[in-house]
Amino acid sequence: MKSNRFWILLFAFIGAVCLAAAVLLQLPGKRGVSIEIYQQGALLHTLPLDTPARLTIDAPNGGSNTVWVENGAVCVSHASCPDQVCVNQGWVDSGAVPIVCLPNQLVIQIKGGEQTVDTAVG
Amino acid sequence: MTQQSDKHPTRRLTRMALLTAIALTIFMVEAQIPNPLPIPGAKLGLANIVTVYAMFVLGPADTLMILLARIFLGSVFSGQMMTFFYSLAGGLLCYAAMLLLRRILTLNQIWVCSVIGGACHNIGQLVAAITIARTPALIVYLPFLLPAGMGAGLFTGLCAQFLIGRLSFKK
Repeated sequence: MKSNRFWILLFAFIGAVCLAAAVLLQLPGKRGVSIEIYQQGALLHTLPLDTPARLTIDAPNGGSNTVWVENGAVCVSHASCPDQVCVNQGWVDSGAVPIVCLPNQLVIQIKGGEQTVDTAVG
Repeated sequence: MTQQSDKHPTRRLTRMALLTAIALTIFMVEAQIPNPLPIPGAKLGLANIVTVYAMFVLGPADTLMILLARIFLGSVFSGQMMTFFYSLAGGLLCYAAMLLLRRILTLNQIWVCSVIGGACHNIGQLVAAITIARTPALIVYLPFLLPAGMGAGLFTGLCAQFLIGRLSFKK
């Protein structure tokens, strides 16, 4: 019974550290300058954020994602997968958290803002 | 419990089949509920109640078979084979962690085992996602996924602990 307290404290500590890091990652950073679109880890496109663009990216598994760039922000407006995580993420203009579509193995990272993974985590 | 099971192979098989069916049912029902959190991969994982229960009542070998059968059948029924790899990576890491912990924990600390198991499950899934998408930047999801896994593990662990207490499988 005594060690129950130990475990509760340990878990609360880990949870608090993670939540602090999560909040830190969510803070709006400096607006990005460009985006990099990766598919299966390979760089497909580099697009400037100040030029409106709309492109559809076909995935090797037969699915596709539609990427919109407008007003200095980027979003995925359509995804072929059922979970729609990347679509629900909405417009993104900064930050270390990339837009990810795991089923189609697509990753969109914001570049040029001050905040990167290293500065946000470390 | 294990010795009794060895004397009754049919009883053991039936119990494992029953638990697999229960786990699969919970898994499929939960998959129909929309994810309330905007975090990919974060869910309660109610099927883990069965895994935790089996780990403490039936033993490691039976648990592994129930777990593998549930993950495989769950992926087949949900129709997404990518789910298989994420579930497998998470499930096996969770299993390994619980296997080590069950030796040092009492029946009143099953929830501890489950919390660490839940955390390990999400770490395993994240590692699988990083490997499959070949994107190390996905590690930024760790601060979201780790508490989510621990919270889910706490819930399922308490469920399993109360269940085992009520069914009184004491030695």
